[in-house]
Formats: sequence, structure tokens, C-alpha cells
Amino acid sequence: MAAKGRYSRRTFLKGAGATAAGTAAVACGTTGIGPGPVTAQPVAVRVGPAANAPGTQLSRVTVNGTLYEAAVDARWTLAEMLREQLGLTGTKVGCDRGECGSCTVLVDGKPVLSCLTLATEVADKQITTVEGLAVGGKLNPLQEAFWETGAVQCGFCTPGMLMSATALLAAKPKPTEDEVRLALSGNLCRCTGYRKIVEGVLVASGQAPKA
Amino acid sequence: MAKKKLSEKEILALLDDPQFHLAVAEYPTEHQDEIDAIDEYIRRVTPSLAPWVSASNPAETRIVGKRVKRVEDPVRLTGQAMYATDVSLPGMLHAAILRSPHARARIEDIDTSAAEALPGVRAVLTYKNVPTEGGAKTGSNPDRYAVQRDVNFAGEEVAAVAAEDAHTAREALDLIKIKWNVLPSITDMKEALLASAPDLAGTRTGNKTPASAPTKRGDFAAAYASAPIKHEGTYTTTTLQHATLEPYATVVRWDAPDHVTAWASTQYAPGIRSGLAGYFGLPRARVRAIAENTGGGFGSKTGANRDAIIAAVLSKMTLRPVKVAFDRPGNFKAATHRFADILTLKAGVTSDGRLVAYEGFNYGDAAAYRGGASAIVPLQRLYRADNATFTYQGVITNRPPSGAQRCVGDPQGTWAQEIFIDELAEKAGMDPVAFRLKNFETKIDQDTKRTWASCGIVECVEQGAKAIGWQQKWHKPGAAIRGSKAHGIGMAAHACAHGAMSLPMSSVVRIDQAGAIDINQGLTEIGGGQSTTMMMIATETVGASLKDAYPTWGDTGFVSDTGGTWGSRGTISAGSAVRNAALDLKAQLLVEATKPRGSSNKPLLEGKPEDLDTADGYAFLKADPSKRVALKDIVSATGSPMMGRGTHVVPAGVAMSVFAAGFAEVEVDLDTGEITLLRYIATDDLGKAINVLGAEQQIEGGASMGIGMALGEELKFDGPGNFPVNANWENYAMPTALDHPRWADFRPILVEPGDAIGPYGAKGLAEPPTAPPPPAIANAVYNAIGVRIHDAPITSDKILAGIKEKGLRA
Repeated sequence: MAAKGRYSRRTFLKGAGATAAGTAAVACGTTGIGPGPVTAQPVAVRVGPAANAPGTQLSRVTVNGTLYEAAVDARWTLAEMLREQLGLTGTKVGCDRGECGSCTVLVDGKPVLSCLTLATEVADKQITTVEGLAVGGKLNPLQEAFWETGAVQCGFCTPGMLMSATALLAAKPKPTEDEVRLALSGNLCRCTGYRKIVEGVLVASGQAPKA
Repeated sequence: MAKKKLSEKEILALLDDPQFHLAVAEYPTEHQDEIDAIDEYIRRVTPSLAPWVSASNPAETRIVGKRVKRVEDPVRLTGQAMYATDVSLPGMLHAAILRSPHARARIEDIDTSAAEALPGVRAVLTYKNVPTEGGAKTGSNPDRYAVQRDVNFAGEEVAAVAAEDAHTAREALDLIKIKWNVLPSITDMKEALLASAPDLAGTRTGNKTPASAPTKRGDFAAAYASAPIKHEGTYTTTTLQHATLEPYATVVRWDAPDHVTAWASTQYAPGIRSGLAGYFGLPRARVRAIAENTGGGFGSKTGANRDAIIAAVLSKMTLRPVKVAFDRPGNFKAATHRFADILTLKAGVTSDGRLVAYEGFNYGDAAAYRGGASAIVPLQRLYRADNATFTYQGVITNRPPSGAQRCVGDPQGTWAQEIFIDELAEKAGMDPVAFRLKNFETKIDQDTKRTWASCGIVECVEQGAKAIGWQQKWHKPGAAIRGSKAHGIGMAAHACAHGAMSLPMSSVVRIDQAGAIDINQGLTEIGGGQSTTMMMIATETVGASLKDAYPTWGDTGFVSDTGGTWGSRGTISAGSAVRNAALDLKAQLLVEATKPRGSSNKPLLEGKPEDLDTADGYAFLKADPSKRVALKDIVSATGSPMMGRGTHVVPAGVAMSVFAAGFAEVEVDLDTGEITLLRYIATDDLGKAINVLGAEQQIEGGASMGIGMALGEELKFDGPGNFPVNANWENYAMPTALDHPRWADFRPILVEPGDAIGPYGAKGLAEPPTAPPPPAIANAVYNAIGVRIHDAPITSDKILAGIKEKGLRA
């Protein structure tokens, strides 16, 4: 993998506006791995039933840089809000009980199981989902590395793997193989045996797996 | 036994029956007569290709055999890929399913009034209103419908609710009241076989399924009696779940009273189509099944399962689209399962280490729906034994439905055989590798006497032994214990029923005036990169560029049926059909290129068609490649798109098998019984890799599933209701990234001896890598501590018991 895969802690969000400032917790950048460019939203996107519908609660949340003002069903998980309300079905639900990691998203830069998080818990937080990774319609270096190394088979675990790996690389740009394995150990995959996924993360960090 | 004669009508009916296709792919040896009759018929009616047209030499390919990034992946990397669980339609209802808490029971009465009264509930389906006539019976023995009144396993579907949202649907389940008549149940095969066992299926057969005739060669009893070295052992495997990351899921919408569309998580979109058409008595053309992406299958999603049927029935009841997605515990309980097997093996060996007598008796868990559960194919194939008897007997229990899981019964048979062979080698005083090499049958299928089209088992074993350092590392059992750690290596070999034989398949490859290539093939993409593989085969053969081919996605509205993605048959079977169709197209292109045309009455290229070849989007003169014309210009000159047709049939008298081996290196902790898998080498005879990347993926993934079977996967049943107690990923030990060896120590090795039948010498691949890991690891554990584990999985409690018995620890 070329040097473009090198990971950077630099953020590109400096000065991107008040709405986006909070996402700086996620290491990302035009040459790095992380969410795509964020546009400051002068007006929040309103979604959901009427804010005063019974059982709903108004929540302001930024997802992939877009500020939403969402009336969420108090029973809903973050995964349900993302998938059912915002139409962001890239976040997968494999078990709906915190066992498989398919629903991993970043909340203020930290990997979180969106099936175990209530939608109302993320008010005023910055969410990054798999849809926020590609920059300007182009795969980011981590996605490119996954493609190159064959880290994807059926693809159902892929979004969660990408988000866990994004969080790892933000915290540790040059992880060892064992650190990658540990970081991905909460994400189940049935197709790959994990080998090419581990390889993909290492390649994205500008390293090759030790032969 | 006399060969079955089939009429043309019977042949055509079988070719049109999706269940028969599945049965042939997974259990080919049981259907040899039908396969032969069909092959013979298709060979007779299929027009032959122009004799002068040929595909590229496998050694000189431009696309095939390379490492290619898959076309399937970008959409899966961005989160845009649509799976059945992602489909959301206007007005769509969400369903929830009520499952039986009892393994065997009858519903005396069911009261759904409170559930129906819950605001938002639109329909409740129970035995009282479920369709039962005609195709609505989804199976017999026991009779099955969309939901059941008579329950045969814990977790079976007894009611379904469709509501405006998923929460309301789930809430409604709690309001359904059932009066149960709980009946005695059994989930243990040995218990089911006891004379005192209740008659689970009312068959008065001692809970046995109808017996099939044993496979016999020579005289086992006599050869065994006179053999100087004798050995006998019993080996068991248990019930496993496929645990696809995406559960069973289908969205169904009735478009009109006689037209239905299904978005399904499936390995076989045409199977969803025929399943729903059969259920509702519709022509297949009135059912459309779409499977753009499927989150894993591994044999569990071979047709219209209950998710599809329930969604379709609820949708018809409400005239609204309905989504059914099994929740994770539901999927663990009620998707199909890898069946448990018990194998008792007996063999006689000469003093110089030659296997002369071999007997295998196999009880397989036919479970609640009495499916096939045989594990004897690897026993019949891998080792030469002139005197042999193999017998299979299915046992009825109340475990959840048995079905095909990656390699079906072969990992069970290979678990038994490869531990047994290791024990035999030791009795014969031979190195386990040398003993196997001495006894492999590499030429023929011993029962049909047909010649293998190729066999790479010797290369698999030799290359694997070299890669792991067998000569340096193998030692006497228990001879490498340092402190509390014991080191060992072990191996296993495998001959597979899959990746080889299947029914004739046909495909169409088209090219338009822009040079775009459209492959009409219906393999449903479940993660194996089938679309990329077919694009590689088609473009290589036509002589185009990979970028000129359209990817194909599973949608019965656009592609024809080239069989399901199962039985490791895609590359060999659909791939051969695509190759033949592409060859037919190539021949037509070359004929058109040399036809005089236009006012000048000159051809695009001078010469005869056989003087030309194609590559990289051009046809050219072999003698002078500078004389060339673009394929798209040939098409334009003819005025319309061109189409090649192709059919694949296995040549008469030939048999195919795929071979694999696995080498494991372990460390066993004597205090905790924990096994660390330090190294695993998987060698696989795949004939020839079409996409090297895809081939490695299949080997790594297959081996991973075998590692899970070895080291902890086991669906457990307990309590008076015989309920599965670990129906979730928390307690079902599916391997994580930490349970595999490191990158450099988990190696796939492609063994490519070529093959006379498959496209560019390729054979199937997805299943064979699954079988060797469990016995290879068991043999490595024996090498480490001298303890034999005969009952999978190899868990710490069994290791510790063995260590204590051996006196290695108090």
C-alpha cells in the first residue's frame, strides 16, 4: 500500500464551524482516516414524528457532520434511530444485544455499540457512522486497504469493523498486530477468519503484517 | 444395483426442481443414477461448440489466475449495500415471531385476542388461520406450515405478528396466551435409540429414519480377521449453528393479487422465487426475488425458509409489505444446523502399514425435520481399502432442523477418520504423514470406479508438512512439555464431496455495440465474490477487459437460474457454463469478423475464423497481431448485440473430488486446559485459482469455521423442555480475532494441479477447508499431552480430565 495510507492524527476540522468542532475528538483528515468533510449546518435537519408526540423526546445530534433535530421514540436504540429514522442503514444490527459489534459507531470519537445505546443518550453528541468515512465519494485509506487486502466478504460485519479500526487508528496510528486483533475482538466475522481484516488495518496504518 | 431409468419428462422435472439441485450439490453420491441420466440427456441435446474455438491456455491467461479486487466490495465498504434487513418500503409492517419454549408439544388452544387489540397490530398468524392446503404445506414428516401447532423442537415458530413497528409487534407476542400439551422430548441421539425412548415421530421405528443400503467393497470381516494390526474407535460431533452475521430475513410485498416481490437474505434467489410460487400456486414468472447482498449463508439460506413464508403470508393478509427478520436467539434456535454425528470406525492394517479392511458405522442426527445427516463420504474416498463397509443410520430427535453447513457432513466424517487414522499410524509404528501418504487413494472413486479428473492430496500434504516444519517439530506424544506448557503438532487430510459434481448448468453471455459484456448467470452473491469470478471467466474467454463486464446481482427479474451458491459449485458449474457461453460468443465474433460485408464486400479481418484470436477487447490475426479490430466494432458491424449460449455437463465416466489438508501447531496449558492455536496451515487442492484473492478468502474463512468447530462451538440443550441454553453469541463460542493464529502463522496455500473439467482448471473451494482443522487440532493436542479427545469440541474441561487421568497434574 502506498504512503497515502499513512495515518494522521491531524484533524482538518479546525475552524470548520461551531457545529463541527466537537468532532475533533475523532482523528481524521483529508489525508487520514475518519469522517468525511463536515459542513456547518446553519439549520438543523428535523426528522421524526412531531416533537410533542407521546413517548417521543426531542434530541439534537450530529451525525457525520449533519446536525439533526430528531424527535425520537424513547424506546429506540441509537441503531434504530440511525437506521429507521435517518435512513443510515450502513450500521448493521447482527444481534441487537451487544455481542457481535456489527452496529459499532463512534460517539465523540469512541467506539460504541449503537444497539446498546439509547437514542436519547446521544443528545448533543457527535456520531460517526460508516457512511461518514468516504471522503467526497471516494473510499478513505482504511476502506481502500480493506478493499485491496480482501478484508470484505459478505460485508455485513464490515461497517462495524471499519468503525472499530477507525477508533483504534485514531488512538494509535501504528498499532502492532496484537493491538489490532485486540481492538477488533469485539467485532464478530463469520466469513474471513479475520486474517485479511487484520492485514487491512495494518496496511491502512502504513505497515505490512510481519511475515 | 440396476441403474434407474428416467424418462425425458422425469429428467426435465428434476432439472426444474430446486430442492433436487440442492440435494445433488450436497449429497452427490446418493443421486448418482439421476445425475448420470441427466448428464447423458443434456450431452445429447446440447449443440456442440465450434471445434476450432478455444479458451486461453491456463498458463497464459491475462485475467484468470490474478489477484483482483472484487467488484462487490466498494458498496459494502461505504455502507450503501442493501441487505434484506435494510430494505424499508412505504407502508411496510414489521413482524415478530413467537417461538415454542418446548421441544415437543401440541398447542391445545391459543388466544390472540389481546394481541390483536393492541394498537398498531395488523395481523396475527397462528395455526388457526395459517394456510394449510396445497403448496402451503412446506414440508411433511412432520407436516409443516408457516407456523406450527405441533412442535418438534424448542424455538419452532408457533405465531407471528405484523404491526406498524417492531416494538409493537414484539409487545403483542407477550399478549398471546397458549395452552400447551407438553410431550416428552429427546435431544440426545443415544437416548433416542434406547428401547425405552418415546416414539418421537410416531414411526414405530425406534426413532430411526428409513435405512439406506450399506456401501460395500470386498469382504471386510475376512480381511479384518486376518489383519495383524487392528483398531477401533468411536468419535462424536455436536450441533453447530451457521451464525451468519445477518440473520434469516425477508421483506415481501404483494404487487398485485397474482404478483409478489421478495427481498431476501438468501444463497439462491431463484429458490425464493420457486418456493413462494409453489406456496401460493403462482407461475414462477409472477414472483420476483431480489438478493443484492446477503450477510452470509454457509448452507443455512438455501431457499424459501420460514422467514420468507411468514413474511409472504402476513403481507397477503394485510396487503402491506412485511419485513421478517429473525432475532439472534431465534436464528440460533430455528435456522438450520450442522447435524451431530456419531461414527464408530474399525480397521485392519498390514504389518507394513497398509490399510486392508475399513468399516464405518455412522449415526447422524436427522433431528426434528428428519433431514439427511450422513458423514461417510470422506470415509469412502480418501484412503484405499479394498475391503470396506460403510453404513449410515439417521436418528430422529428434537434438536432443531439439520441442514447443510459448510461441507455438510464431511467435517463430521473427517473429524472421526483423521483422529482414527492418527491412532492407526501410531499402532503401525509409523509417522502420521508417512502413513497417510502410503494409504491415499489418488486415482479413482473406489465405489463407482470412475477416475478422478484431478487429485492434489499428495501435494496438499507434502506442501503443508513442509510449511509447518513437520520433520523438525513432530515428536513423541507428550515429549515437549516445559513447565506448565506442552507443545504439539498435528495434521488432517480430507476428501470432499463438494466443489465438484453438480447438475448441468447453462448461461448466456452478451456483448453490445459499446463492447459491454453482460453475463446472465444467477449465482447469488453471499460473500464469495461470485460476480467477480464470473466476470473474470467471461472476459478472459471472450478476450475482453475486466472493466468491460457488468457485475451481476441476484435478481430473478434479470438473471437466469444457474443454481444456488452452495456445494462449492459456483466456479466449477456456473463458471463452466459461463466459459462455454463466452466461447460460443467468441466463435460468433470471429465468424462475423471474417464475413465480407458492406459495399466493398470486405471482411473486417482477412482470413478464416480459426486464424484469429481475441484479447484485451480486440480480435486479431494470430500470424500478425497488428492486424486487429475492436470487438465492439465487430458487434456494431452486425447491427445488433450478440449472444453466446453455453451449457456445462461433466464428461461421461469422470468423477470429481476436491482435496485439502490442515496442519496445526498448539500449546496446551497443563494447569488451565487452555489450548492456544499457534499456527495453522491450510493447503487446498482447488485445481486452479480464478481470483487468487478470492481463493485465499475462501480458505481462510473455511478454516476459521473449522477452528470454531474444534475449539468450542456447541449448541447445548438442557432442562426439562430441552431448550437450547446458549442460543446467543455471548455463550456460543464462535471464534474472534484473538482465537486465530497471527497473520503469518495462519496461512492458506493454494495447490493448483489443474483439472480437466473446470474453467481454466478450477474446481470448487468454499467447503473443503472447513473439515481439516478440528482433527488436525485434536491430533496436535494428542502430540502435546498424549490425550485423545474423541468428542468435539476440544474444550478445557475435557483436556483437564485427560491431563488428570494421564497423571500430568494432580
